[in-house]
Amino acid sequence: MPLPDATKDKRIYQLLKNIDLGNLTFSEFQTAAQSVFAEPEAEDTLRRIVLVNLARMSVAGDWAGLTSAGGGGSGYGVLRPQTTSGTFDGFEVCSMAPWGVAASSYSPTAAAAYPQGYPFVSPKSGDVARIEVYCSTASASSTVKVAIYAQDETTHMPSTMLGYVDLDSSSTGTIAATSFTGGTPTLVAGTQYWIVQARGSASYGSFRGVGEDARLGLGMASDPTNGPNCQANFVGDWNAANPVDNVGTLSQYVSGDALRVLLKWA
Amino acid sequence: MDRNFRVYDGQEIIEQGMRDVSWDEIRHYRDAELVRTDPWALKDRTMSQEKKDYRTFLRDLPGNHDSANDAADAWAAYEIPE
Repeated sequence: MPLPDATKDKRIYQLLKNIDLGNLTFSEFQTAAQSVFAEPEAEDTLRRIVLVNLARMSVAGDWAGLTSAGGGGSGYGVLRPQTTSGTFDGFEVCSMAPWGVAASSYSPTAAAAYPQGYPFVSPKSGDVARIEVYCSTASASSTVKVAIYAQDETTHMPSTMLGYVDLDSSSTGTIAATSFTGGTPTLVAGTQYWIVQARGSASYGSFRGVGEDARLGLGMASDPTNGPNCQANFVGDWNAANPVDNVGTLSQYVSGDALRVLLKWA
Repeated sequence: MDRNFRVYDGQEIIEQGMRDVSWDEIRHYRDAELVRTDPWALKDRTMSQEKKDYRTFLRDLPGNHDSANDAADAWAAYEIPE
């Protein structure tokens, strides 16, 4: 129903008629709504614009309030600045909110024999196309495994492995892998996952990481003297020959550096 | 700073080469390396000539190289004292 003294106007519906609410992103909605003038003659459409965005946010996921762009877009929960550089096309998950820190240190980390991991919130939806790390000290015939795990809804610990890569660390430099074992991880923006890494061979290289003192903690400690403990050990022998599908339960919070992992989407 | 990169599809290398770096990146890691090696210069320690040379090399990176890529390659080839 138009407002009592407003001219009936359905422009916003016509502009968006081919997109259902579940797939309507904020950007698409904004593009359509921005074409309407804020003037008395458009009063009815202005009202309908509010209604459409309210409906869009209502079906797009968790309610984030009217001051947020809501779901259907990034869903990231915080407003991550968009870089303007075309070369910045990856997401360094160890340095992203809420768990990450600015990876300003030049800290090398040796790949551990047992699985270690840290949580991250995916900034983007879709299939992960590429995982990159930087090997600072090479070791002959060495590999490191990097896996992405979904999170258990109750314990918020890693549950199902979504896929892993073997990265050859027999020479230094940036190492990227584009194909996954165990499936290609498909992530959903705003959802928490885990990066888990371990040695893939008896020998091991060193990688660029976030220094232990710089890591953000998971917030669990036995006493106030505990160091930052974002990274966690897991029960389970995730060895080179037989990477298991589940890293198991949390064993302990450990010292050590968090591996700097870059994720890229297609 | 090693500019080498390798992209794998499974076991197969599908792309490799040398990536370009910027002076900003060089400075970022150079500054971090100077911070890491600052303890070498503590009063109660005697810094070896190799370590002095290395820190001088780091400080002189911008002045001694025409491009950031050259500076990165020189750094990668430098034998860093322990």
